[in-house]
Amino acid sequence: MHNVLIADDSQTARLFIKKCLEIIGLESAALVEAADGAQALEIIKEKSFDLLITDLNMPEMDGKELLRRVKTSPKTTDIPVVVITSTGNPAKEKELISLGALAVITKPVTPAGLLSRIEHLID
Amino acid sequence: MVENLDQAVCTAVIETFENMTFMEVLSLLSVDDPEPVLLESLGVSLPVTEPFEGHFSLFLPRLLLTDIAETVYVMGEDQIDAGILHDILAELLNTIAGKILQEALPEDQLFSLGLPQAVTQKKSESGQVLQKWFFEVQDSLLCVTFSGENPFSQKNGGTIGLQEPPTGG
Repeated sequence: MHNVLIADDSQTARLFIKKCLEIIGLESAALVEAADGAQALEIIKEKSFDLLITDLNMPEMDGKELLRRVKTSPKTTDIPVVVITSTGNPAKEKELISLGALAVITKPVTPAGLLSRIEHLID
Repeated sequence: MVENLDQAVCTAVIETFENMTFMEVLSLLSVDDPEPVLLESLGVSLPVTEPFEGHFSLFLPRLLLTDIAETVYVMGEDQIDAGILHDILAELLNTIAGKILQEALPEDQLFSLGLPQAVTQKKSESGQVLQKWFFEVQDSLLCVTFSGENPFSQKNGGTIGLQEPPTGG
């Protein structure tokens, strides 16, 4: 795995996720940040990513819409997407998985929790 | 479904602070005591939009937030401004509110939260039904409030003073 895009309107949340990824062995230089879904979509159109980690509740474009657009575009449909949410429950998780999410993580994010979802993607 | 909202709030706050700040939190369950005074605190409010309408708010001392920014997020003094402190506060409340609703609502009940906004304590108390919970962390007081519709059944009561965190999940 080389490039990871992190979409979250909270700067500290993005920082926390970056630290979790660094703890599990991903290089900080390969981690790119976006402050909302719309920005993430613009970035992902221009650059190749191996993983998208997105918050669900964001202004401009939320994580669910971002997921839908990534998965319905031929150029980006194969990018694994992990959704992070504070409002998770089995029904919502099922909905997001049906839209193409690789995994749904309920906050707070932990290195172990993140690793269990993406370890098969790591080289 | 948890019938005691007090328990859901207590568990959510303690677990969130443990996981996100590595700080131990003690709950203050006061029934008859005068309300503690929050000094030099910043506040953020988060609306609940489904399945009912209400607001959760969180108030933390500015110094404690600064400490979290420095120790947990390893930020230097020049990086820490009001925006960062509010951002940390919002992220904590977002996680706390989600955990409260997960505990207090039926497992299959969908729920939604809005976007956080900075708020004063007075503004947060302008809602219809107000409940407050106080906690101690690092010799500081933090406060969680809830205003709006209250669909939770609850038990009143509790002992005055510091209590150990509840055991179990």
